[in-house]
Formats: sequence, structure tokens, C-alpha cells
Amino acid sequence: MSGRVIVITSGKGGVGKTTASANLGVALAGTGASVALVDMDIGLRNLDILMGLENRVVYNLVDVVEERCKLRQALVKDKRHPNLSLLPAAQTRDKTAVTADQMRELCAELRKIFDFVLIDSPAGIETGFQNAVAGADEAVVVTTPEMSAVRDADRIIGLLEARKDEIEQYRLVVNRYRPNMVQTNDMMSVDDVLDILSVELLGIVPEDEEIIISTNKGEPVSGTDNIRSGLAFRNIARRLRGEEVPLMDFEALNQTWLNRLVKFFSPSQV
Amino acid sequence: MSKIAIISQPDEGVLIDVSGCSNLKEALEHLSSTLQVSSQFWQGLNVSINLGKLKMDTGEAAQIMAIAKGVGITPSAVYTKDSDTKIAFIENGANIGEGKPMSLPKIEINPDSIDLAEVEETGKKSRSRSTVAKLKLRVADALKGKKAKSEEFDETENQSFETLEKAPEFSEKEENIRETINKRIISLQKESEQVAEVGAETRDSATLSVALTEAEEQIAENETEACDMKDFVEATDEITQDEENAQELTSEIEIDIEAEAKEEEEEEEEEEEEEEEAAIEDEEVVFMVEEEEVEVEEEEEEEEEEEEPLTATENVVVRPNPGGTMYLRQTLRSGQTVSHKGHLIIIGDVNPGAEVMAEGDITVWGSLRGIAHAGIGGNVDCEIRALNLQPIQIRIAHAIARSPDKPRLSYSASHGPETARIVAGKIRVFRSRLE
Repeated sequence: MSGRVIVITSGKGGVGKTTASANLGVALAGTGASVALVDMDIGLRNLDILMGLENRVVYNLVDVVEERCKLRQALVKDKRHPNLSLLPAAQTRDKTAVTADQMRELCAELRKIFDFVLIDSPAGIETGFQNAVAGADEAVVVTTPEMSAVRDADRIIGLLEARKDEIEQYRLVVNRYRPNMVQTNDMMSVDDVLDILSVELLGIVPEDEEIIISTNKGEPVSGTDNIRSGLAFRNIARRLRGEEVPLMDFEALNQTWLNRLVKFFSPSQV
Repeated sequence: MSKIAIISQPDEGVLIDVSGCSNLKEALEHLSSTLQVSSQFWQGLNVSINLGKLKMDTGEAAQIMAIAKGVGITPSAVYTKDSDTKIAFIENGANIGEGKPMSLPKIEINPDSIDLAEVEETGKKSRSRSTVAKLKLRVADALKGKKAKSEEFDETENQSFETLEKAPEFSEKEENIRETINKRIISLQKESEQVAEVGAETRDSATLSVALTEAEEQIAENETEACDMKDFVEATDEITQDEENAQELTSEIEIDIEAEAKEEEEEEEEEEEEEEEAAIEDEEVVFMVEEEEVEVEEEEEEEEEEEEPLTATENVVVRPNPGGTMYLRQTLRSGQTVSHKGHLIIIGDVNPGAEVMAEGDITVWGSLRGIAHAGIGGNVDCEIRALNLQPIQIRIAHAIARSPDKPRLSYSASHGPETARIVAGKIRVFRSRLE
């Protein structure tokens, strides 16, 4: 059995790579798969904080690569999901601490143990990104519906295309989507984004304050019911597993019955 | 390789590693802040600098050398991976380091053993409870005459009384000590009278009222029977386990005579051997007279919580310190590491994401919020202290403890100074007793 290695990347910082990694990890683990989350953002690690595992980290990816510890020792088991493990990044090192070949070796090792290996890539297109992509065979490109983020995503997709023999598939997640702003033409719609990027859409995640709360708590939203963004991540996880899941209907989600009533009587409807 | 690290080893000197910095400006800032804030520390040390892949021209190399000269040091070696930078430093008269620069020490810890740090929530209170438990029996034993033993005391208590009787001969200091004791007794009498009044009001709770002359009596008995210390003082009002009277607080008067108690304590607290030895060497008699409010607790708990040392001679322990003490005056931020063979003192904060390591103790005069690892070589006697101890993890020798899982948005100061040390193989945190 060989697991799938999926890199989560974006080019631009702050679009939600780490949030997406954590949530997809939890959601995939929730479907019963065994998952390893690998934080490749060496020197600026965050994934452990989002997962609430910061205080359990002893060894890290660089220690494994430099053979200061065994892989099993460095993997931190999640508090809530026994089949989810985190391989944390080193905080006191920099991105040059590992090489692409070492990453390939590490990914080969991990895919023997886990069904899914999710790699949280650092922002940028330099060494860190190159290393993160090295061992992967699929990519999830995260972007927000903003021109700058889409521009960077386009650049990343170009780089991924250049690695066609390694990266078999790359799909897009549109994060921090605000349907009401799209309606008032203040935000790019998903179609606008897809127009530019022309890639397969994996899912849309709405903007959600719950994300901030969950980040501070160290409990990814996809582990909690009744949270919209959590549901969106769970849907993406199911799509990653090959299920057909329809896209969320943001129109309906965004409208309470009162909204609809108002809309029904509003002149624009006439 | 590291973002920024200070690695210190006595035989090789200190390496300041700025190879993780992304540009010259950042490296210069780190170097100057590190060197200047604690300039006294660096003088006379063998300081080397690792620049990694950073590129520098002659002028920039001169800047670095100037910073070092400014605090009175000449770098013993400059490590660089860039050939142009190498030339630039040679032009400035620096020695180029050969081979590999020093690296951070390897840590050996079993991640599976990670456990919550047990916090001795109220170190002071529990100590007072255990102390009180012991004192009660001593006072009572003294009162009831040398041999008469009340059924109220169990076997262990009787044992401790026996050891008290075997106390070593008393030296010339005896007279002085007696005087001190007399003074204490007079002051305590007043206090205990107040206590007695309070105690009288507690209807069915007060069961014991005993005398305070334990120490002098026994000293006198051991040497000459002719001692005429007979000030019996009503010293303690013990409240029974009765929970109904839980609101009632009584004062306990503690007198601890270290020299006499040492045999007893060796039995009870094996971990304290060092302290006891120190006490013997010094032939010091330490008195700790304290009056404290004691919360009424079940007696079982009193028995359990006796690990806490109750002697004032605790600090006499001499800690091995082969590498000297490293003294740093700067705040360590995320990604920065300091390692040192010997004790480490940091005047400043250790932020989350920073890591400090030492073969000896670690003392942070500030907030410790990152990771601290004391006793790297395996010395389990090492301690970690901080004015504000909120670490992500604490490691001592091969033991490791983590912080609670609750989210932390606020890092503001909370409990005051605390000390972490290993007790019975586990890291425990103790509130400092300075009050």
C-alpha cells in the first residue's frame, strides 16, 4: 500500500495554507484514513499551534532528516484523532536545513505508513517551496478571491506544471470566500478566479470568524459540527478521497428567511 | 544552520551563529545586540562567529570586526561558506575558522514520556501543613514527658521522637541558642495567647493544646538533666478533621530545629541528603519560626505532601558548574537558541519558540515562555527558575513536562517566581517561598 503525498501551497502568504492543512488533516482523519501532517515551514512553524500540539513537540523534521532521532519519535500524535500525526518543523533552523532529495526520501518513508501525507508548504517560491513540492505527487493550491493572491497562485500553478512528471494533479481551493461581497460585486467570484487560473476546483471555503477562534484554541474547525467553514473542509476531504460532493450553496446558506422575505419584496426582484 | 544561536562550551569558547539571518543587516543587528547588551560576559572569552552563506564585502566585514572590538573582543575565528566573504575577513585581519563550527548539543528525551508538569499549587501552604504535622508531634512529645506517648500519635511519629532524643551533643553554641529560644518563646507566648482565644471559640474542634519547649527540653535532657527551661506555652490549637469547622482557621507556630531534626529527616526525606550533609558540616542550628494560617484539611493529605523541603539550609547545596555561568542580558525571541555548558542566567524574557539549554541550572529574570532544558548532560539536580514561569515545555536531564492544553491568549504574569525541579523522577513546579 502506498499513500498519497499532497502538498498544500499558495505562493502568497496569509491565504490559509496552514489552516487548510490542519483542517484537511483532521477531516481526512475523520473519514477513517491515517494522515500525516508535515510542516515544511521551517523557521516559521505554525501548524503545531493550530493543531494545539505545540507543547508536545520534542523532535522535528530537521532532526529526522539529520538522523538525530527516529521518524517515529518525531511524529506527534493528535490529541483527538488517533490516526492523525504531525511532523513539526524546526523553529530554530532555516529552510536550507533540508534538501529536496532528503524530502523525497522522507515522503517515501511516510507514504509507507500513512494513507495521506499532507505537506504544508511555506509561502514564496524559493527553496522552501521547492523542498515542500519535491516529494509530492498531488498539489492543492489555496487562494483567496483577491487579485494579488490569484496572481501568485497563477505563478505557483506555472511552477507545478513545470514539474508535470512529479505532480500528477493540482486542484484549487478558494478560501475566505464572502458570498455577500461577491453579490455586491466587491469580490471576485469563483468563476472569475477559475477564468484566470483554469484549473480544477476542489472546493470553496467561506470566510468565518470561527477560524480565528479555532486557531487560538488549537482545535481545527473541521473537527466540529455546525461550523460552515468546517463543513466546507470536510467536503473537500471527501472529494480528495474521490467522492462526488456537490459544492456548497452559498446563496442559500447566506440567506435567512427574513433575508429572503426582504429580497422577495425588494424592487430588484420585480 | 540555525536562525541565530549562541553556543557556549568551556573548552572551545562561544560561537555566535547568525547564519540563519537572511541578510547582512539582520546579522549585524543580532551580533551587536548580543555582544553589546552583555559585554562584560564576553571579555576574555574565545568568541567565534559563524556567518554561514552570508555574503560580505571588505567594508561590511570591517563593520563586524568593529562591533566585536567595541566590546573588547577579537573573534578567534570567523566561519563562512562564501569565498568572497572569506577574503574580505582575511583583509580585515580575522582568523578564518577551519572545519565545522560548534553545533547545538544533541538532546536525548523520550517523547512518549511527555507529561503535564505537576504544579505544586500552593507550595507554601502544603509545606506549612507538613511542617505543622511534624511540629505538632514534636511539641506534643516534649510536653508529655520524655517517654509518655499519647495514643494519638502513630508509629512514625514516635520514631521521630526517638531520633530526636538521640540528637548529637550540643556545642558551645548552646547558650546562644537558648537565649534565642527564650526570646522566641516570649514573643510566641503572646501570639499563642491570641491563638488560644480564637481556639476557645471553636467549640468542639480544639483537641490539643501543647507546649512549645520541645527543643530546649530535649537538649537539656541529653546533656544535663538540670536544665531549667520550663516555659510551657500553649502553642498550637489543632483543628481536627472535622469538616464542619473548616471555616475556622487557627494559627500554628512552627519551630524547626534543623540540627536535631536531621536524622529524622533523613528517614523521611531521602532526597534531601545533600542538604542534610551541608547542615552537618556547618553545625548550624536553623530556626524557622513562622506563624501561618492553615487551612483545615484531612490529615491524610498532610502525610502525603512531605516532599517539600522544610529546611532553610536548602540553598547551601553546592551545584557543580564546570563551564562557569553564562550571563545574558537580552530577550530571546522565537527561533533563537542559547546553549551553554554550565549555569545560564538570562536577564530578559524567553519568548515562545525560543529555546534555552544548559548543562546546569537555568535562571530567567523575566518570563520564561519558550522551551527550557536544564541539565543537558543528565544532571537531575538541575533547576529551572523564572520570575514568570509559563514555558511550553520544561526539560530537566531526560525528563520532560509540557504545559496544559488550554489555549493561551494572554501571557501576562500570574503566579510570581516559580522553580521547576525533579522530584521522584517527575518534573514538578514549586512556588517560591519568598514572601
